[in-house]
Amino acid sequence: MVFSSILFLLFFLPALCLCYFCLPARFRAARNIMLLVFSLFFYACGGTDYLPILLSSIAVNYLCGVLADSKCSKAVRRIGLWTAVAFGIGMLGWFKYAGFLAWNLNALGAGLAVPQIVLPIGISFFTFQGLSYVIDVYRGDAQYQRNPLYVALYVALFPQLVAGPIVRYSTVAQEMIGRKETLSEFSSGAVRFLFGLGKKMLLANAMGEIADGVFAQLPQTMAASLAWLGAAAYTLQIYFDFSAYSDMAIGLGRMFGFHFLENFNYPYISRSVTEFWRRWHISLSTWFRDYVYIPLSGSRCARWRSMLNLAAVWMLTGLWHGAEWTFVLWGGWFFLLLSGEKLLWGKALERLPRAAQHGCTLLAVMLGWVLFRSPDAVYAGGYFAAMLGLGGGAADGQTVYYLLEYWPEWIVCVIAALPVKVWLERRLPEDGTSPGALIRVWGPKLAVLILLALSYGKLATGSFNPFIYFQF
Amino acid sequence: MKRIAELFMTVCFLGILAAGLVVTLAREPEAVSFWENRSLAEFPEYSAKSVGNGSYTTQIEEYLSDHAALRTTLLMAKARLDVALRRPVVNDVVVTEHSLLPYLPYETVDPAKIDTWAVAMADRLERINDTVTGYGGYFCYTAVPCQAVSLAEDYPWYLNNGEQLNQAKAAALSKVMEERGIPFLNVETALGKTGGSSRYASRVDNHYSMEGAFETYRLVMEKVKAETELEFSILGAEDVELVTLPNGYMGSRERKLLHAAQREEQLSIFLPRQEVPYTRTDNRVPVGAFVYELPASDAGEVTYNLYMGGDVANTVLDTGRDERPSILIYGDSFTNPVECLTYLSFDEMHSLDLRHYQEMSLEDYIQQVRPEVVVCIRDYDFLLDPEGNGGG
Repeated sequence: MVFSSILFLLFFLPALCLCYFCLPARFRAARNIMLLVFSLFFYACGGTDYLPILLSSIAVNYLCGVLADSKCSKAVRRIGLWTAVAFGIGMLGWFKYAGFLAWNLNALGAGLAVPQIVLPIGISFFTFQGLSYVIDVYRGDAQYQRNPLYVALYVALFPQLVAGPIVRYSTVAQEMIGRKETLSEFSSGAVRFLFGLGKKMLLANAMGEIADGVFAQLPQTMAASLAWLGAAAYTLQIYFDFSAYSDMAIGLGRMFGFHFLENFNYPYISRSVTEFWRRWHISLSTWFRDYVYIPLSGSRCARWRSMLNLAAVWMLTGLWHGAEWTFVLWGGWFFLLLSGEKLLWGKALERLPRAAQHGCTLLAVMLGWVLFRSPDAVYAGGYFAAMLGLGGGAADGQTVYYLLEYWPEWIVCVIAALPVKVWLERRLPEDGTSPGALIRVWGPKLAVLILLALSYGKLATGSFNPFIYFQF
Repeated sequence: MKRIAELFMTVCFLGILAAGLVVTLAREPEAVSFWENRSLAEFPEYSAKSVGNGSYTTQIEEYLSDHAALRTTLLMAKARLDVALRRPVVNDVVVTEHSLLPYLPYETVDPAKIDTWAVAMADRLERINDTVTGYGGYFCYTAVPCQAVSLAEDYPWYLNNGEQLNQAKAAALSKVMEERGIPFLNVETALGKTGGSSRYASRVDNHYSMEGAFETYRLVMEKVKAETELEFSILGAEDVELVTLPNGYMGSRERKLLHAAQREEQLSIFLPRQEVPYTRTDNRVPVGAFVYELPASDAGEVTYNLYMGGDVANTVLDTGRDERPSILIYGDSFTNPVECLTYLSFDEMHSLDLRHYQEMSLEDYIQQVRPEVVVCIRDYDFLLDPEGNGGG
């Protein structure tokens, strides 16, 4: 089940609100159980076959958390930690990478049978969440949770269960026990949720139609203008798609009293790739920083070692997104860019005019997305050649068609990728009855109600509705 | 004020979701969407397997999407909005000033692939031709222009009009049919010599007009007459009276656009000046004798089902004139207006639509009926398509 579906909007969410808010707030445990039951049902809608995988992940992480607690001996704590790591990585390895590994070994002549394994929804996200819980307990950054239902609720909480953001246990530990749901929180959560829904339904899907149309074609016959347009469309699609999901997750969390950390911060306004990764998928990049890069000694070591650590992190980041060489190359691309900024051209980049800094960064990111979107490395190579005009010439009618057909979406996408909201909030007064204050209070609410109507219209009339980040 | 706004937001949000839920549940389920010309999703059947792999939820989502509250109203509003935003393609229809054309995705024309398709198609047609000529009959495969072919020049320059592909398909088939000696008539080429097919193209539908069907009828009959010694008359303009119906014509493109962009057009019929009595049998069941399903009144709209009452698996019109030969026409909807004229020239006219006809194979039908003339009529879109009316 996806958030942008009629089943979720008209059935799941109203049913949850009714069951949850009918329980008095003082029965916190009952409300949590209700939330857990709905969360497990939400996950089971994606296939009950996968539910045991989620439940076993919860059970193992709960038990390992108990063992990793500081009250236990060091040996026991280590057993708890490494069992959780081995289980989590082993599960990910089997479900996500076994086929890839067999395929590569076969390419070297191994002659293995390639296992046909269906990837359980959200496995990358709930595995990382479970691991972060045990690691935090082991490090003493968090206390182990005695009640297994709370660990279950933390791992399985439906807003972030299948597509993130990756929520740290410390972020929600207190709120699971002592959060307070208020009208103000519910209202602002609904606004945030509906902004996300609108982004997904009206912008991401439109850009997805363009990107799918372009990337379905052979790069050998693709005009340069079309190749650039396809890359731009995918650049916008992946941002609006994933950030929309994060918006909806954050909004839903807030409706039920949880405060998840931001996952995106207008990444396309970055002036360097380093800055881009501080603004893009923040929960993932900080996860790798805190649980992989720093334990490997980060940058507090010899330069060659630091570079090696960075390379390892980016290879893993690439692989996390999918078991394909294109993702490894994508990770490698960002390793090169980040290393280059750190060691070679970072200072020179800072001296460039701001527009040039933005342009260079956006170009680097866009080229990365071409790698990310391409079905294989050969296709990506051909696509890059097409972007240089070595495919089907310089320009073609398709480019004009995609621009004219989606002209409203192109305009709104460009505006929505900029921090217009932040800019407006700075300029509109917070209090009083001035028109500015009225706009500040009422504007977002009326806007999202219009977005809800438009999104519902899209849902009821269209079938094009895939979420990109469900595959990870 | 902030609190009022928050209360307003919460009430509206939950109220809209609740209203949507109630209306969706209370809505009378429909089986068919008239505007989309398709069956709507049915509520899925529960099975442990579908619940296990998640496809049950997907099917429920499809069902809910098809049966959502206000769906038809929203479809209409969306189409109107898209037309108002001047999107060049709305609901897969290219909206131009004069016509509503099919959207043709860009494609790379591969001549080698087309040659392979043409040979495969000719193989099938050769088998049918052998069956027909085996008992002394005559077979002709007829290519007629669809809307995109006739109005190729109406497409905006930046959109694919399929011209390259269509020409390649027709040329490849024409070549291989000639090599094998199978009669082939390209109506588009023939009309090209006398002013082109665009004058017979509908602005709102894929099919040609009644006048286009009349031209097709005459071209086919002239070819049959020239290549056989069969005795039958060919209708001329003086033998029929053209009547234009006062009703509006709802073409398939207008229907796809839910009337968001209308182009005025009316349908015509040809009435014979000299009546020929006949009986009609549909799928072996005798029905009233009609070739035009005329509307009950001058108000309301008519569709292409006016001709022969739409696509029927098997129809036989018998004029009881044993001295004349019989004919079998098979093909897609382009055959329907041609059939409205053809029966006037023959004793028995058999019609098959192999997309619907399941009783026996085409060759078995031909062997059983042994019509002197067998004509297949297909438009350029399906010229090399072996499925459906490709011959089975």
